Amino acid sequence: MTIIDKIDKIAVVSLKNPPGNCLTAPDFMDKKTLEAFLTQNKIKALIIKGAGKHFSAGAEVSAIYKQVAAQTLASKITKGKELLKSIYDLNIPVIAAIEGVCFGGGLEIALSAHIRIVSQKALLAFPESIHQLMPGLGGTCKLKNFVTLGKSIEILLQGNTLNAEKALELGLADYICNPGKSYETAVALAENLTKGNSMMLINNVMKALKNAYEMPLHKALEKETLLFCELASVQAMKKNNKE
Amino acid sequence: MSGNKTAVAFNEQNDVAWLKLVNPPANIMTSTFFDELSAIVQHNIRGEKFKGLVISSEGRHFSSGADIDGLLNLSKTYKKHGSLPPFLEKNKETFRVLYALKKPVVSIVKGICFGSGFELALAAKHIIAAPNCKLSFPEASFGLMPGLGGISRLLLRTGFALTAELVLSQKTLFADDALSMGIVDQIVEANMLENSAIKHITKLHQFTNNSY
Repeated sequence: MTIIDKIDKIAVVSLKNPPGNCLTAPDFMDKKTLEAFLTQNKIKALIIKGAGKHFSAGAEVSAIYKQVAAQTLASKITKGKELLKSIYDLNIPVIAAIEGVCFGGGLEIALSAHIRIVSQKALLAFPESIHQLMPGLGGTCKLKNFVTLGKSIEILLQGNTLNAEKALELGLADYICNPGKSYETAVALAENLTKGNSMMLINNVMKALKNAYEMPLHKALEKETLLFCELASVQAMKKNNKE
Repeated sequence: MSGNKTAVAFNEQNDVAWLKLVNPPANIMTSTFFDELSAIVQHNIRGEKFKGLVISSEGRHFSSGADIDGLLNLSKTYKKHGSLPPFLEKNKETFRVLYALKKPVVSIVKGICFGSGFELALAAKHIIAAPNCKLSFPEASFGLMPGLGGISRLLLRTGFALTAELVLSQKTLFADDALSMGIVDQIVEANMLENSAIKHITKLHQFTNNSY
């Protein structure tokens, strides 16, 4: 079960299935519900966390086998991937606040956020190989954004657990905090990123960042001009009205 | 020094070219500054024989960035014609040429290095900072974002999350944080900035023999 709530203009998605917050299905929440919640409440940043002591231990293998039997696995995975893509595609900062265990599908959710905060006691891994499986929600593709091909192979085939320090060193995590403080740290960061900033400003900066991340430099620079001009014309108009 | 530049000067010394912001204390990047810089980049820098280029500043600070009022006034004028402001494209092109130069380009930054001043510093592949250097993108406080490629170039140095934080929270970075984040490459005492830049250029030149 996934809970969505908000503090002012910051939305908080909590993965809840104690104790490990295992995912019972790849589409751990309804994409449309999430999008509607964000739009209706004019949300400026999204935090994803686990309820309790852990982020998420990932998918339950038994749930995967059930879906194989029901022949629904491929369609479920497609839906899960669509959900993760729609999270990454949001033009507001998405922050994963990671406590405790963040494994498999849980790590794939965390990697679809833009920013990852890990508590000092967090553990990250793709342990799927234990069950002779591999990550199924884009984890294999996302790893290349952070680590070398060689390191990816090790993480996927050896299934070794990365502690918070290691995750930070590899670039899988962006910030590290005291145990139990990842959510507070995420809220403080989200406030810093949104305070006093208009929705258009946040959206345009996020678009520019994603362009820079994904496109060749010349293309990203071209797009940046349009994003900048959109903001400048609004500000110029405001200035005009004042005069 | 070439011509009668008022905001930025260009000269060559011992095969090293120097671009210097010469409107202290703040070295504000006005439209005059950008015009002069663009002229220098077009006429003095492309295809020249020097070993490398240093972007530096006169006075205590690198630059406090663009003149926001001037920028908005220009935006207003161009908005009437319904097209993108050509000055923005032109300034961006100037930075692009600096970044793409097939020679070592070094920025030496001290004091305040804000907004488009920070973007200019990022147009160099190597940044040397003085311990007193402060880096920041304050554009968001004016409802704007960096518009001269700073986001893209900063992201190449430090990644998504920290770039987002710098741009959206308008946080001011001090030299040692900037070094640990990979945003600057070196910290040296202010009186050693110029020598360190020359050293870096000489070293790269030695190894690359002008095929940089």
